[in-house]
Amino acid sequence: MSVEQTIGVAALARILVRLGQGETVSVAQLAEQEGVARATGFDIVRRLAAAQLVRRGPGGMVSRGNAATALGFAAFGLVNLQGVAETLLALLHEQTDARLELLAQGLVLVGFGRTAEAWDLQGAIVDGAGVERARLRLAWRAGSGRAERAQIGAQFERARVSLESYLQD
Amino acid sequence: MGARQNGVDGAIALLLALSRHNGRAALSVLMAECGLARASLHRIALTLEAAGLVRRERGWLSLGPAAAAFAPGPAAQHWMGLEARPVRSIVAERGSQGLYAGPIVLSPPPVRRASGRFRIGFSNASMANPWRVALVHSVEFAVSRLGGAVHRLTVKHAGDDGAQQARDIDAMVAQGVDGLLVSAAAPDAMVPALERAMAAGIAVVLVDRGVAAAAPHTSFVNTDDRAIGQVTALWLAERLKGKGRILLLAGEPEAEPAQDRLAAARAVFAGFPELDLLPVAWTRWLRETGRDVVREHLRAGTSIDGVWCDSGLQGVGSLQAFIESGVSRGKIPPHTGGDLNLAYKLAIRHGVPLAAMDSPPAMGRRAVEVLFAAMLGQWVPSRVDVSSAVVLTKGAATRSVKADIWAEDHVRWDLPDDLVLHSGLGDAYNPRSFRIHYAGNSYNRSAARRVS
Repeated sequence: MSVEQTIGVAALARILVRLGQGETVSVAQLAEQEGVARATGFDIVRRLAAAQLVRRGPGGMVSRGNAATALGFAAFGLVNLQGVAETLLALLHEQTDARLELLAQGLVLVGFGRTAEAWDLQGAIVDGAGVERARLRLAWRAGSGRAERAQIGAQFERARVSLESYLQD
Repeated sequence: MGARQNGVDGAIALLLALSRHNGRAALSVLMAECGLARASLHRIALTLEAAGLVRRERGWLSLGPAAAAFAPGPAAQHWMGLEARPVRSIVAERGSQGLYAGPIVLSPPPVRRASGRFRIGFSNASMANPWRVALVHSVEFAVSRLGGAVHRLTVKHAGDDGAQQARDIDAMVAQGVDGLLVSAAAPDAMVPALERAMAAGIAVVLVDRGVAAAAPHTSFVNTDDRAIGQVTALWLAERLKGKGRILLLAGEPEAEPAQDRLAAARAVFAGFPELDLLPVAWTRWLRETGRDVVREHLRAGTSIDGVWCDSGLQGVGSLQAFIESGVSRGKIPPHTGGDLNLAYKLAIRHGVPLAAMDSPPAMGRRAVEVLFAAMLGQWVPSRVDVSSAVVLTKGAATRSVKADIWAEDHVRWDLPDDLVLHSGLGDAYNPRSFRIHYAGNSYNRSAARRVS
């Protein structure tokens, strides 16, 4: 690999790290801020978009792509949950209006609602070997009654079981 | 682009391979999968490691801390993109338990990755009744809310002709739609067309009416029709104290919702042996047919203690027949079936005990959201139920069936008789003055105006 190619890989790494943090920017901005020649920036983004590591939206803005999100989950050994976890938590949040987090190694992989000081429900997501790989937790919405909490408990457990089944798939 | 051209492609291939291997793989495996020479792989890995994207170990490579930050994180934005909906699913509490048991099944994103602005096709079974008008309005409203993300919405009405609908679907696929909404006129007739659409990598979301179980689809958005049948039948049986003769006015024999509601109602009635069920009359959800059936029974002197309707679309015809026959206020037998504003108006005005669970046209809006998420490359639930509420006229609660909303609070005296409730289009929604703008229509005219 030539020196130029090494420079290209370094530029790719900087662009990917920047977009991986969830920013949405234009390619021109990205190239300028990361110190990459404009033409090189466009070429790298085109290649990243083809691999779905970045997504090009209306107006030429680019953001993190689904394949980049998969990298994030794979870094925790949870690639099977990429896409699945976001949808299941979105669904659970919609059903319960509760604050939710899916954590791995103490980091929040997916969260809905601002983080809570105390969590009312917690459940482990274990792999096929019985090892805990992630943790789902929920905080009731203020004012929820006993009947509603019982129902939310059932929905929480169903979401947890669903996550576990996809992890072990 | 043909063969790999530079180190950037090699780096991308390496990262994707690590993702496929769940974050960690042997160097020998990565070399083989990525087609990289050992020296090139080491240089790429070294550069990526400096950015924190990978971590090198003896003979292995794994994803590094910078890659771990790519997970969505707190405050994830996901598929329920438009605006908040009612929090708790009433139907989920009352619905058939079998439907909600076990892990939630999700559909993976469609194969074809659309980008930029999406083309959406909506193949609608028909425009045969006011409910279907409301469904089209709900779909159009949701698309309008997506703004510039939609390049074009094309709406085709099939006139309840399955073969025509299959041709409509094929035509929209040929036109290059990225996603399809389908409300099927005839479930079996749709299967080959849907198979072709799915094979082309198009997201297919069914709404209101499903298709044969074998037919591939991304998601099915509906309400719990069995709950509608169960709850209304239980109310009627308890209202009659388990005794009496019931007239069953069902919707359309080919339509899955009508079949499910009727089957659920019959299962409930079977638990009350002293109920006498008259033969089912299929009304095609038409007011005139409902009225004619009841008129005929009244002319023949049939004694009717209760009328079970799976919707107020035909239920209003039954109520009108009783009113026309001169039955005095408060003497018309209890009815079931809502949806239509006129059903509530007539029941309240003439003192008829009524129970209903509206089939929400808001499912059209929900279907658009699910389709949009799928086109964005997200996983979506393979089944989505839009909740409804139990609506009773005041004083009509029974031992098992209580009101979530009183009909007297639900009815809209200020709006037209053909308003369909639970549209999700807001309190000001009026089907007669509905105007909408989205990419694909002109002069703000709804596609529901072009009745086939």
